[in-house]
Amino acid sequence: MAASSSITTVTLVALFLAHFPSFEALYEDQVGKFDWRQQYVGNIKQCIIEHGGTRRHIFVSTDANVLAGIHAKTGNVAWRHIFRQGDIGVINALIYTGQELVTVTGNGFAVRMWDPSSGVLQWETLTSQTTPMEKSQTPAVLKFNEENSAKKPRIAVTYAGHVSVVNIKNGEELWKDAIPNSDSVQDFLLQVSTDEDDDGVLVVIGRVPGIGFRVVRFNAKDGSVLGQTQIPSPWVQEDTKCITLSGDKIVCADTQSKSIRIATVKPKQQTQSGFISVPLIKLQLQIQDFRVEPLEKFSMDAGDHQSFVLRLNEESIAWVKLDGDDIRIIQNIPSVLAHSFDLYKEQYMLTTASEDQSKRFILLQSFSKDGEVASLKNRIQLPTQSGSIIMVSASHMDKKDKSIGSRVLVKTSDEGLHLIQQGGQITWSREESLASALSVEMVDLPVSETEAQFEDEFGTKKGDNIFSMFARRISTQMSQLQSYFVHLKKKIESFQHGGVVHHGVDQLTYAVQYESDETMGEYLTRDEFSLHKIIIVATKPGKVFGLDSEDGAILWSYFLPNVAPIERGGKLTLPLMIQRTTAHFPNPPQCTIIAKSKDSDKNVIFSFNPINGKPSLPEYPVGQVLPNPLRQATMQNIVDLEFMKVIVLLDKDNKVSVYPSTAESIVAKNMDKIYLFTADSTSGALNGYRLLPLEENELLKGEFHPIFSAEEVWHVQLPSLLQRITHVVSKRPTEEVHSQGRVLGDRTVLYKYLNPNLVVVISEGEDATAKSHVTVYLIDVVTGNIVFQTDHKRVEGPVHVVHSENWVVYHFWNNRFRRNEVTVLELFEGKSQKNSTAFSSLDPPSAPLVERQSYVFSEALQAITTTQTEKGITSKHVLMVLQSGGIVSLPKRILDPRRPLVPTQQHKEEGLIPYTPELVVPQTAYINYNQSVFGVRSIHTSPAGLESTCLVLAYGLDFYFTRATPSNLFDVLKEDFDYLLIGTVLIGLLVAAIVTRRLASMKALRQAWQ
Amino acid sequence: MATSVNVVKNRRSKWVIDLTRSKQERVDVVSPVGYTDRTLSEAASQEKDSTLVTKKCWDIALAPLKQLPMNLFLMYMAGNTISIFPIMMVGMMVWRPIQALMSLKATFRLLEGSPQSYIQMFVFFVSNLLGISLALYKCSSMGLLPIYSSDWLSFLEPQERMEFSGGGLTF
Amino acid sequence: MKTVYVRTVLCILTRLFLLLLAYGEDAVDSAKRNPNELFTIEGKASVPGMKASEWIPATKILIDGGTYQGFLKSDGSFQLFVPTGSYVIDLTHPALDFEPQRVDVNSKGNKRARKLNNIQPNAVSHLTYPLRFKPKGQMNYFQKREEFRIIDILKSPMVIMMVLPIVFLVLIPKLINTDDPEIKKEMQSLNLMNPKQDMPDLSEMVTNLFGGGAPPQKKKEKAVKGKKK
Repeated sequence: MAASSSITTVTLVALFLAHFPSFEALYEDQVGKFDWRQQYVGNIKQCIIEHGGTRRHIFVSTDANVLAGIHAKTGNVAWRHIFRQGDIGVINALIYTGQELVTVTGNGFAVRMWDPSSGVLQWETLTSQTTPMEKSQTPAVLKFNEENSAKKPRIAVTYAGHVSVVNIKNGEELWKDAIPNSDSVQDFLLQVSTDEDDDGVLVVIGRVPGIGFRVVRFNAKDGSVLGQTQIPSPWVQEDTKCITLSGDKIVCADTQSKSIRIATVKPKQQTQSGFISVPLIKLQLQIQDFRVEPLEKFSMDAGDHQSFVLRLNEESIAWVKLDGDDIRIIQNIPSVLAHSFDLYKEQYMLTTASEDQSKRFILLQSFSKDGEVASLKNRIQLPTQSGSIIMVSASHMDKKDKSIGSRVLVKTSDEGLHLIQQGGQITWSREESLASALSVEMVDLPVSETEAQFEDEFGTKKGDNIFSMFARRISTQMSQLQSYFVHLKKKIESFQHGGVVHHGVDQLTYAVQYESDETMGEYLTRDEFSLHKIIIVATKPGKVFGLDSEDGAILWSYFLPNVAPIERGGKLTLPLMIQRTTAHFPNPPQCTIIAKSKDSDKNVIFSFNPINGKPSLPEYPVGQVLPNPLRQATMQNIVDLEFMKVIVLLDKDNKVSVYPSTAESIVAKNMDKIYLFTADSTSGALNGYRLLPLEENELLKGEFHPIFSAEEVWHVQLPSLLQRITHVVSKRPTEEVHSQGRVLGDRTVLYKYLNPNLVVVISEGEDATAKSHVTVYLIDVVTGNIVFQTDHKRVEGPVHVVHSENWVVYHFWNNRFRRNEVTVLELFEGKSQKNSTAFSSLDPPSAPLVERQSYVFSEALQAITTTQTEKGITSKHVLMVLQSGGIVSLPKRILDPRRPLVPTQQHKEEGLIPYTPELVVPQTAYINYNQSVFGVRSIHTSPAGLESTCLVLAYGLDFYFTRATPSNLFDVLKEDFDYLLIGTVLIGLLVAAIVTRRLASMKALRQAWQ
Repeated sequence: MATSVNVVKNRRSKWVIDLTRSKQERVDVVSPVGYTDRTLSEAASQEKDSTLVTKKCWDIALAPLKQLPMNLFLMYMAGNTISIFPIMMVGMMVWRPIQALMSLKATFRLLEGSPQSYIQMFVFFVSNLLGISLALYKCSSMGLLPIYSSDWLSFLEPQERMEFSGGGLTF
Repeated sequence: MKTVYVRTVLCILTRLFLLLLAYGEDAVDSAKRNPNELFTIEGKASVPGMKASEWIPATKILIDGGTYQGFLKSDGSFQLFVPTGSYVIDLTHPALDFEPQRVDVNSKGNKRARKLNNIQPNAVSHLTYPLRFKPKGQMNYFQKREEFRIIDILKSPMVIMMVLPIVFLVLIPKLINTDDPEIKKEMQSLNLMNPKQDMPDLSEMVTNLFGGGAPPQKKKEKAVKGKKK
């Protein structure tokens, strides 16, 4: 018996040891189980619905410098090209000829042609042979057919005082000429015309504000200058809208005299006759701030198209036509939110979107020259929280039964896209505001009702005798039993229907519809390990989303129409703070956003419940406006009686108010412990403040009245002539550090310098010798003490920084050696701690020891962060999003400044890897396998209920969510745990033991009887 | 003792004594229970009694001391790594002296007969302590004794934060 | 003969002169050359075994990690427009691994491609220009699940040390008949459980130390006597 039981133990131990994993990476069967990716394109500027070819795609160009082809049927992104940020990559024009898709980017710098179905580049032509200028004007772009032949499509582009004409079929630059007298020209207009010999002529019209127009005529085939004229028109201003029409006409909207001015550009005359003014009162139209718009923005076909759109005011438009020197109205449509034109059978069709009388529906109408097409009138209801329609793009085509049909793409003020087929249904919607996500937080789900009831039992209700508590416990447990049976039944049903659904790569976001609030409530309860969270995303247009972390579905959204992000240091931010989590039943959780108001320069503060997206204060559905513009807002870890964290607001007059106002007494109690600091990016000044109570006469009444004044206690001036502060990075306030020191090889401890008030300030710029320069400062913001400072010469940004525990990791481009480098700084107090129980910045330990090292890194980054776990026991990994699209998880151990060049025995005891100058990224460190992400703005990590797991979300143009397990899943049985095998072995051995015992006793008995 | 043939024979006639056997076969007779083929010394043993008792007592008292060289050798073989064998060895080395120390009273009773009982007790006690100290030395060379500051590191609470700060780039 | 000789000399002289002119022109030109002038870097990428339409749409060209941008055409060729300087050209694809290359473009427009060496950026190890990119292989993001093999357990030393003696203890008695008295005697003599024979010496010594105790010879005499009987 003893032998057999030892066999069992040994086998079990051996089994366990054999399965111990050696290094961390994903397994192929984990793909898609707990990660998802979403791809966005951004706020669209221009959109073309494919009308030639297979009519499968919609081509869009966006504010984020993205050119994309979207499947018209499903709304998924078929292909996408992301151009460089800034002016160099801005997409000025998008032209679709039916077979070719042409873009003009970089303010006229580059002309490219793409294959419409696959998005692959066909040709690329630059209009300039030198690097693009820093600032350039919006170019004029015109597509025309040479000699009116559709086989010779050409595109003309102005750039840097030159005009180039490129053959669309093969990308060959046909000619390029400087535009004479183009010094003070603000912008250009292009027009095609013919001269007396029937040759094609390209007319370049330059507008000089206050003076007039300078017209230059070029031969369209070879670019020779045919003539120059001037049209004096002193009424022309910078913002006067002007367009060109066929027949050599220029039409401008003169808002001052409330008239339309028309001019004909006649050749052969040095000065023109000038503009004819047509006052609009004649037309009996309601006019306010009107402007003219062409029917097709970038294309002009010679012919008899002399109509254009007159937008009369914010609401109505008129489709008008030139009639000699007069204007005739074709259609007058009041209350139009947005309109678009497209060609259908050689005729222009106007599509409009307007609000109907009840203000609940949107009316889509189509008009031709002869009037409204009744069959295409549609009434649609946009999803709530969408805002109003601001852009429409339509395409009319023949349906199978030869009647006219239309597809309309609608953009709403929350940057959402909706495609509407005739019949009035929304085929798909895209929430493109997620592409401009500025802040992200993850919130735990609330516990289930039965567990909350348990809390209730031990809650604040005193005075209950023991019997009622007992009865309540019994009833709670009965209801728990009931819900358990229901849950079992549901599990069996779902098992029958099939297992876990894996999702595909390109998943469109969709609003999740639940049968009832009850099922949604059940779905949104905390799971065992708290891995299911709600992701709160705050975006630039002011829309807040709650995403489900399981698959990225939108659970709720809320639109704040009059809100804009706050600009800090040149970047847009939207501070999002979790004031109360779901851990304090029955108090509801609360998140707060601080934003700027669109109308004034005041700030808006808005609180909402992150679980269901409803405002916390129903009387302020779009937030409260703060009386004074803010300079700073921070959330402190001080909680009031209802477990709500306090937000301290510092306004421009150095007065401090507190949100929520019920926490004023708590803040007053802790007044001498709270310090605020501000950093000004351009002036390089850092100031620190402490709180003092306000004088009696300065106390005001009302909401958000300031109750403290901020007195400046320290001031640090960083050199600001050639440098500016780009990053101010502090540690995460909810971070837990598990061990207070590092154990060295000789069993002594090197204590960490854990200053919670330490902030990393990075300033980039140039030094005195005009070489790029980056300086890193570590500043204690309670005293203003610069704890550490280091310079990097000939180093360029963008710098990516991570600051956590007692270390800082930052990444930059070394210009001298032309490579990327990563530097680590780690701060230690020494072999003994000054004060092991409390840390006070006013009595700090002596200057810390700073260990630092640099490594060569082969990749450029998009974003960087570190993993975070609940108790900080798991080792930390630094997560980097590479420019090549991968998210890499590197252990902090290789970014250890104590790594020795020549390791001794003690170093090996400590576990230090010997120093190598290059950081090699192994392929198994990619946590997003082949789901590359581009356009990532930042990456956010959040601890889960399990100590070994960290939830990671990279957001930007692409969203990617996954779980990171830096020390592998050490606290959970692994997925392929061999229950079956171990069970059978156990049972088998047990049976064998019993049988053997029986046999042995029988044998012994037999032997005794011999 | 008996060959197979004789076994068969004896089995058949187990309860029968054949008195007619010749003297040559006397060796086949089984001796009765309790009979030993040894001459007993009678009075001489009385003289040796006290010496024997003392010797026996010394045996008991010195037993732990004799374990020490073997333990030393085992320790040397086990090495300084932490794996199952060294731990088992160390555990055994610690447990045996502790058990012996706990049964000190019983041992004392055993040793009462000897005139040198106190010295023997003392020696017993000291050799057990030596055994325990040897085990502790082994522990410390394996690194199991918490004598360094790094062993108390995990009991350090995080420092309490005396000031709260917040801020960043100006709005 | 003479005319031929003169002609060749004249030829050589004119050639030299033209060369000098060209060089001189070049020198003058480079002074006038725009430092921001853009040059074209050409190259081609090919993936054997995959159709172009499969890998080209997902491949991006990164110059210096995104400072400049280029696009692949449908046949895998690309053109990059950059000013003078030294650049790292890298092709990225989610499933294919490409080796990055360094290209130096000098002010005259000469391009040189060399291996990327981050540790020694000035080391020159030439590569072909126009650039050629071929994938080194597929990207391996995953590790294999460990499969359970009985042989792994049997090979582990713990198992061998525990199981083998037990096997011996069980099997060998089956092979030998243990009822044989001779074999039984052998087994008992092999028994390691016998107490050591030399232990009593120490206790005897100490006993003698502390006084008392008869000499050991008497004991032996008695034993001998007993035996003789």
